[in-house]
Amino acid sequence: MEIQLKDSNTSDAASLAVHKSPVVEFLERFFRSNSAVIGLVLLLILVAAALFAPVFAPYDPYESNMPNALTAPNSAHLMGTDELGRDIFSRILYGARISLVVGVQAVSLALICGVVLGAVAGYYGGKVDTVIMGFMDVMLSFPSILLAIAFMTVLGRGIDKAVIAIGIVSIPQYARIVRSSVLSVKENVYVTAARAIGNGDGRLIFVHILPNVLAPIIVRATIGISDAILEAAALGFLGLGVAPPTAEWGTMLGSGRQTIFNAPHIVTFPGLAITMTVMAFNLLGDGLRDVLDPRLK
Amino acid sequence: MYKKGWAALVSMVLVTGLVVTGCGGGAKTGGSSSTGKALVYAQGSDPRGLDPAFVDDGESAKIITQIYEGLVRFKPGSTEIQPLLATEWTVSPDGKEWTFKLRQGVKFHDGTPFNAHAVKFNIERQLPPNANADMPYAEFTYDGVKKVDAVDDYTVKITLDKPSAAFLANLAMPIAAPLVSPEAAKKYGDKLMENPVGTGPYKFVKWEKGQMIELAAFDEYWGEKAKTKNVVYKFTKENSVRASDLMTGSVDIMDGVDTNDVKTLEEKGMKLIKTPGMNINYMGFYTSKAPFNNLELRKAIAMAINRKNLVDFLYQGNAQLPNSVLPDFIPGYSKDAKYLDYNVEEAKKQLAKAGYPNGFSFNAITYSNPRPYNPVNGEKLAAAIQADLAKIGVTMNIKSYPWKEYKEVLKNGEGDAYFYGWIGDNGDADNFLMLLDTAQIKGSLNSSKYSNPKLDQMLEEGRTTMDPAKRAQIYAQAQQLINDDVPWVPISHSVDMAAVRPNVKGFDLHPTGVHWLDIVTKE
Repeated sequence: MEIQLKDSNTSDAASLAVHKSPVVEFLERFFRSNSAVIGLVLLLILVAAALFAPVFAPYDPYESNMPNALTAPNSAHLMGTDELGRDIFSRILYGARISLVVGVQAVSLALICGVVLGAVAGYYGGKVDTVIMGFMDVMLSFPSILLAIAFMTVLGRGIDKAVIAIGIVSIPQYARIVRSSVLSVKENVYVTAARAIGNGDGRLIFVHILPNVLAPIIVRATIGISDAILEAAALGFLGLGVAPPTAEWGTMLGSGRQTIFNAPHIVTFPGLAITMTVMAFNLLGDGLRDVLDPRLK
Repeated sequence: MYKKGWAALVSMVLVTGLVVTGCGGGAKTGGSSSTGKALVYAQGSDPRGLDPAFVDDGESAKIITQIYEGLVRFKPGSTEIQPLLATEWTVSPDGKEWTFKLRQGVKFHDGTPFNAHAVKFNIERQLPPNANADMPYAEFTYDGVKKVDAVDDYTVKITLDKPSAAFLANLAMPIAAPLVSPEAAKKYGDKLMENPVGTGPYKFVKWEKGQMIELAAFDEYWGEKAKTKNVVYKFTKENSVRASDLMTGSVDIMDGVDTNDVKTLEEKGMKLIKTPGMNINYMGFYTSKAPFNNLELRKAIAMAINRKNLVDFLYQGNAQLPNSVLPDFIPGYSKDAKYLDYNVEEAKKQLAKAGYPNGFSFNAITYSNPRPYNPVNGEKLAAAIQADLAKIGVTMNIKSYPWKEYKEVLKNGEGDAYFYGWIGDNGDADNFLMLLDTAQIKGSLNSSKYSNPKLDQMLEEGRTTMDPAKRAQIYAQAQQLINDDVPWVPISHSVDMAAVRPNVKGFDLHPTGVHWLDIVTKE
C-alpha cells in the first residue's frame, strides 16, 4: 500500500503505466468490499430483470382477467394476481424498468444542476455563494417528499414529471457536497499553478477542480438513486405517480392497501422489490465510499 | 391482602392503559359509566349538524332519524310511504292541495306540543323569504309549495303551485323534512345544529366533536318506547379500524363495511346486514361533443365493457347489475328495460360501423377516492374498463383527481368521458331520471349534457302524474329510451353494508342509508 502511494506521488501523472494503476487499484479494493459486491450483484439482477422483462414475464402485465382477481401466489402466478387479475410477477418486472429509469434520470438531472451550482458557489464564493447556497438551504428546509408532492401537484401526473420533481428537490444535496469539496480543493497549489499559467475560470473548475472531487459525488449519487426510487414509490403510493395501467411499484403498493388483510401478497411483493432495489444502491454506495475514501487507503 | 391490593392496582393500571389505547384518540365511550350498557354505533365521521334544514350528508341523516320525525316515513326495506306524525292525508283531484291529519298527544323533547302550527313553522322556515343559501335541500324538498295553512290544531293544508308526484316522498326524507320544535328553533337559532329537539324515540344528550354523540330514550314518546335506553354514535374514520372495534366488542354496530373486510368479519361471527343501495355508479359520455356525440361509437364502448365481471369481481358481488338507471326497489323501476349486452366481437363490428375500424384513443377523467356507490375507487374502476377497451383496440387514457377537485374538473367538462355516480334522495324515480333532463345541464347534474326533448317531455309528464300505475308506464318508456341513447354505461348499484355483533337483534339498513335504533336490542 505504502509503496503504491509513494509511487503515485512521485510519478508523472501523464505517464501511461501509472495512469492505469488507479483503475486496477480501484477494482481490487472494490472486490475486497463485501457490501459493494453484494450491491453490485443485486443491481445486476435488477438491470437484467428490467432489460429482459418481456422475455421473463409470463403474462402481459396490462392484461386484466377479472375472474382471476386477487388469487394468492401459486404455480401459475408466482406472486399472485392483483384486483384486476393481472399477474403481479410480470408487473414487478416491468416496474423495475420504471424505477431504475426514474432513479437514474432524476439523479442525473439533480447531479448536473447540483454540480454546476455547487461548483460555481464554491469557486467564486462571496455574494454568489451566499445567494446560491441560501436558496439551496431554503429548499433543504422542506422535507423533500413534501416539495416533490408540491411539484407534482403543479406539474400533474406522469413518469417524466416525477423525474423532474424528484430531480429538482435533490439538487441541494449535490450542490452542498460539491461546494464544500470545491472549497477545500481550490486552495491547493496545483490549482494556483493552473491559474498562473493562464487557465480561465471555466477550465479551472471543470478540468482541474471537479475531477478531484469526484469521489464524494459518485458515492452520493449512488445512494441518491435509491432515495429517488423511494421517493418515486412514495409519490406513486400517494396516487401522484404514473397514470394507470402502467406498472409502478409504489402505485401497486398503494392500490393494494385496501386489500391488505385478505390479499396481503399484493402489497408484499412490490414492497420487497422496492426494498431490494433501495438496498442494492445503498450497499453499492456504502461500498464505493469505503473504496474511494482516501483516508481508508 | 397487601399482595392482592398490589395486584389489583397493577391490573387497574393495565386496564386503564388498554382502554386509553383501545379508544385511540381518547374517546371515552368505553369508560363512561352512563353508557355502560349503551348500544354503540360506529360510523365514519361526525354529522355535519343535527338541524335537518341545514344538512345534506348521510352521517347527519342517520342520527337525525333517531331524534326527529316527519309527517310520513319510508317503509322498512323500500321507499313506499307510511304515516308517521300525519295519520292520514288526502290530495285534491288537481294534485295541488295536500291535507294532512296530524297525530294527537305528541310532544317534542322540550315539552312543546306538536300541532299544525309546528308543521307550519317548520315548512315556512324553509320557504322564501325565511329560507337561506345554507339550507341545501329546502328548495328540492318544498319545491312548488305556495302556502301552508293550519286549518285547525291537528289539520294542515299545503298548497302547491303545480301538481307534484314526488311531494309525499320528499316529506319522508331524513333531511329537510323532519320536524323540529318551534320553541327550540327560536331559542337556539343556528345553534340548533348542536342542540337538536325533535319528537323522535331518542333525545339528544351530548356531542363530543370528533368522538361521539350520546342519545337517550325519550320517556314521553308517543309510540312504543325505545327498547334500548342509551345509544352512542362513535366516529371512527378508517373502515378497518371500525371493523376491528366491532370484532373486539367496543362497538356493537358499524356501517361502511369494506368489501375486503367481509370475510374476516364473517369468520369472527359478526352478522352482515346488506341492503340494495339507493345509488348508481356509472361511466358517462359527453354527448354534446366529439367523439361521443356519435351514438354508434357510444354503443361500441358500452358493448365492450364487461359489466357483470365488474360487479362480480371488482365489487366482489356486493353490488347489483343495473339494467338502466333505477335501482329495482324504486317505484317505477322497469324490469323489462334492456341494456346492450357485453360482446367483444360485436363491439368490434360496432366500432367499425361507428367509423373507427382501427380503434381510437380518448381521455377519461375519474376520482381517486372511494365513494358510497363505488367502494373501490374510481381509479380502479377506470383501470378495469381500460383493460376491457384495450381488447377492442380502444385506448382509454385515465386522468384521476381527488374527489373535491374532481367535481370542479367535471363541471368544466374535461376529457371525453367521465366516471361518476348518484345517491338518491327521496326514493322517487324522477330523482334518478332527472339526471338526464336537459334542464339539469345548466346546474351540471346532467354532466353528459345529454339532451332529448322526448325524454324531457316524459319526465315532465311523470312529475305531474299522480296515478302510480300511469307514472310507472311513463318511466318504463323513459328507461328504455335512455338505454337506447347510451349517454351512460351504468355499472352498478352498490349494496350498502353494515355489520353487527351476534348479540344485536332487530337492526336493519334502509336503502336511503338510515336505520331505526329504537327497535334494536342488545342481548
